[in-house]
Amino acid sequence: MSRAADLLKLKENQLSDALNAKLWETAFDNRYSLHPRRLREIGTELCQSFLHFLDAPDREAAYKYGRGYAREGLGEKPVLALVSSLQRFSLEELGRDVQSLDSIDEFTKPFLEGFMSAKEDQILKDQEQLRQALSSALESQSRELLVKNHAINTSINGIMLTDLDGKVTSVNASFLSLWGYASPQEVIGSYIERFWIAEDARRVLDLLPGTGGWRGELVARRKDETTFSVELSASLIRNEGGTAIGIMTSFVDITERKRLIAQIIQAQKMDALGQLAGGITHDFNNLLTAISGYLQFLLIDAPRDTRMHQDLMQIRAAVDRGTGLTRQLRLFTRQSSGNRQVVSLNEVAKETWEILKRTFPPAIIMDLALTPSLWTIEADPNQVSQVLVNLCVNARDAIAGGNTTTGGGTLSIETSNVELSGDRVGKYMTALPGRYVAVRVRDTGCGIAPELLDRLFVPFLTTKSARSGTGLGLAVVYGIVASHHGFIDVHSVVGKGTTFEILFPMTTRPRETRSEEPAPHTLAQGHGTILVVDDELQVREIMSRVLAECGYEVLTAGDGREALSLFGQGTGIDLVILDVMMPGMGGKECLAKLRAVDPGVRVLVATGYTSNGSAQELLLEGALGMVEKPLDLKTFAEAVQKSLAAPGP
Amino acid sequence: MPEKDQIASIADASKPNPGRIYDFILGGNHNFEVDRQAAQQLLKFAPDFPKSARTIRWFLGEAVRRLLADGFTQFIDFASGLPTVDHIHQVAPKGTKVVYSDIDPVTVAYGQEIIKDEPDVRYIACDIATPEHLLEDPTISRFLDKNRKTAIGMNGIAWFVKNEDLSHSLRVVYDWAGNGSRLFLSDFDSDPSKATASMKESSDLYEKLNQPFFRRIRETLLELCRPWKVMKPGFQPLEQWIGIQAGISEIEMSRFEGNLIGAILEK
Repeated sequence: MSRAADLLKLKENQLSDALNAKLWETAFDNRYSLHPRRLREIGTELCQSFLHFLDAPDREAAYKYGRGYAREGLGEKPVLALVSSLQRFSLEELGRDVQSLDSIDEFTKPFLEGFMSAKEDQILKDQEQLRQALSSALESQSRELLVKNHAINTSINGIMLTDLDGKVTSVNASFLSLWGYASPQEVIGSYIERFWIAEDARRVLDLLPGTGGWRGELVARRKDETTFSVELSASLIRNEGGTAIGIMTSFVDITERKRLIAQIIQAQKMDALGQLAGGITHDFNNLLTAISGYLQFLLIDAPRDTRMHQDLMQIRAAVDRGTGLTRQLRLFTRQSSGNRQVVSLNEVAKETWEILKRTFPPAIIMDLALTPSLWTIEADPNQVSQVLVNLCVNARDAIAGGNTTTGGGTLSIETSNVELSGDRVGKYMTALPGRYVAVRVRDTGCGIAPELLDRLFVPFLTTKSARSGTGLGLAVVYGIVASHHGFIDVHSVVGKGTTFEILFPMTTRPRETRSEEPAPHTLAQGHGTILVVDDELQVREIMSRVLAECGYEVLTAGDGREALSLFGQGTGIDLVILDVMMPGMGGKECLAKLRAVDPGVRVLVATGYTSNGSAQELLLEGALGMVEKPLDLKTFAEAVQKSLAAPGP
Repeated sequence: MPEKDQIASIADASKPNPGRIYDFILGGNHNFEVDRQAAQQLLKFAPDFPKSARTIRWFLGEAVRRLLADGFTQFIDFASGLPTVDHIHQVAPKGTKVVYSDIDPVTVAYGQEIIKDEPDVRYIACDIATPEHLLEDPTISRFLDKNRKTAIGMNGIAWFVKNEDLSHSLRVVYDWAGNGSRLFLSDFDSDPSKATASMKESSDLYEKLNQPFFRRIRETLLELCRPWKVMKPGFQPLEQWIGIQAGISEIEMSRFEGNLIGAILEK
């Protein structure tokens, strides 16, 4: 045993205590992995290891002690404090014995080397772990960026990134598609003004620093200079410090949405106009009924070849024009369903084309392109023909207006079967996917100004002179098509021409063959008592006079209440001619009450609207038939005769 | 995970990161110069922070050892920080399942790297204020036993959580946990109504670090813990849990006017 070991062994407990005391003092300077409980053992262990070393010096063992304590989490400060404490204690106990002091250094040197070596390993290992973690985090971030980039690039919304000056730095594929560019290179580096028709985009850009974001609609300009409406959402891109570094804008093409909204507004407007026109038509019709009726009486009495007869014929011509106007208005207001049957649009188009071909100027080249095996539709052929006539007349005028030199151009009527898919249905506000028959009237005329397109079907709107147009042509087209549950699409380019495309729903019902009965030439005679109920005095008088001439006894009532009163008096009324629309008790209520009194009562409905819902309801309630006002006296007399001959309800 | 954290570059070594600063303060090597400089700044204001941090970690080790001794084989830990030496999976024997979590995405990324070779350890991003995000994570149902008898750690984080958030968090975890589950929790027992200059100084410091400090007294904490039952010996100073002697263990908390306390609670 060495001298140093001998001397120090005697003070082992004191050395151990001194080392432990130093460890406690520096407990918080170790890594947290080293629990204070363990410190109590380390001082004693180190003391024993040191004494053992003095007896049998083993540098490698000292080195290992150092490494072990480093791994346990002993900090550098505590280790240096331990070594220092060991040296001081030894120095104090061993005096200036150089040999002994050397042997102390022989222990502490490898001990510290081991400790530092392990610490270095530990640091390198931890740093490597940190480097790998960093690398992994960067990879993860890179993957995340890739996903975000992919999301931006595949977004159906157009996306544009710009710097704060409005210079484009990035765009996605949808942006290129919306604006009609082939590659980002065509766009990047440009300023935003290039993509908009006005200075609006620059104004939005200027607003952004204050607002941080903006949402609204602008009109965009494509590469080919055409325009479209977009809804855009712009926001500032900020860095981590919150400083704005750019702008991100996303776009949605709202052209289609705006078109549908316009369609809805148009439909609502047309409905409102229809209601207004319907009311006017009703009153106007009653006036015409009175004028026409008395006129017919006067014409019977006035000797032919007299001035009076000629004047009356002039009045009749005016009344006929008025009746024509009323009829057209009724078509617009969809108050006339007409004679619906299963028809081929090809046949209607061909018949109409034949008539028009003969009357249109030869400078107009007329073409008819009919699709064979065309599906059938359920429609009034006369009304459909009216649609084609009106469109062709407009086309003729457009061609004449578009080419003042020759008055020439092309007008074509085409038919085709159309399967309306879900995508295309979106073009029409209320359309359902399915099969339709299309007829297109195409001209190479002057075209329609864009500002007129929205008001095209409004009644009495015309670009023609007051003499040549009533302004009802397209309104009638609209009314007829709408009453057939069809749709109209108009494409027009000023100076190039216009195409009206009309789609009628196809039908699977088989076609019927009908035979027309020849019309009688004189008023049908009869006998019996007839009660005429109408709120218009003149209408009552006309009917009374006709019926009297046909051999009937006539009673009249100005409203439903009076009619019930007369009917209840047991005057043997054989037939009631009942107006539908009357103030107070209307036709429907009056019929119900008449039937309550006499379930077998015979009623003939008089109305200006044959397809009027109320009139139809009266037929369902048991009315025998319907006469249309203004009255055609022959037709009226026949209807009365037929009702009296028919079996009761 | 808060949006602001997602925006920050996840692996930016040019800016200090709270997880790496904490690692440095605990004597670890998972940090950069920028973190060490930030830590030195922090220590100027809070020189006792390393002592507190070590005491909190020692409490974690102590609690984990006790729970392991009571037979717990699965742990969920909130606000874990870096899972370096002496964290749960290094104290527990192989086969013990451990789920760490942290709000900081950088810490989560590092944590996942550190535990990548540990088959029984997972690391999931989660804010302690919304533990449901962690508990609803499919990893939890796939990885842990269906009976959910779990040891749960909320150590060294409660004073950074508002009362209502802490109450919500403890309740959500309670509702999720299986019967017999235990929670080890530490907090800073300090009366917020008795603000001193040093208290204000430290509060301001935490505000600057975007980490507000919420003080509460023990009674408030007990109220927030309901319906968890506090096990004996109740909330005790952390030094008592660790068993370190006065003179060494005594943390100079006078400037903070409070004590670090901890307890194990049971469902």
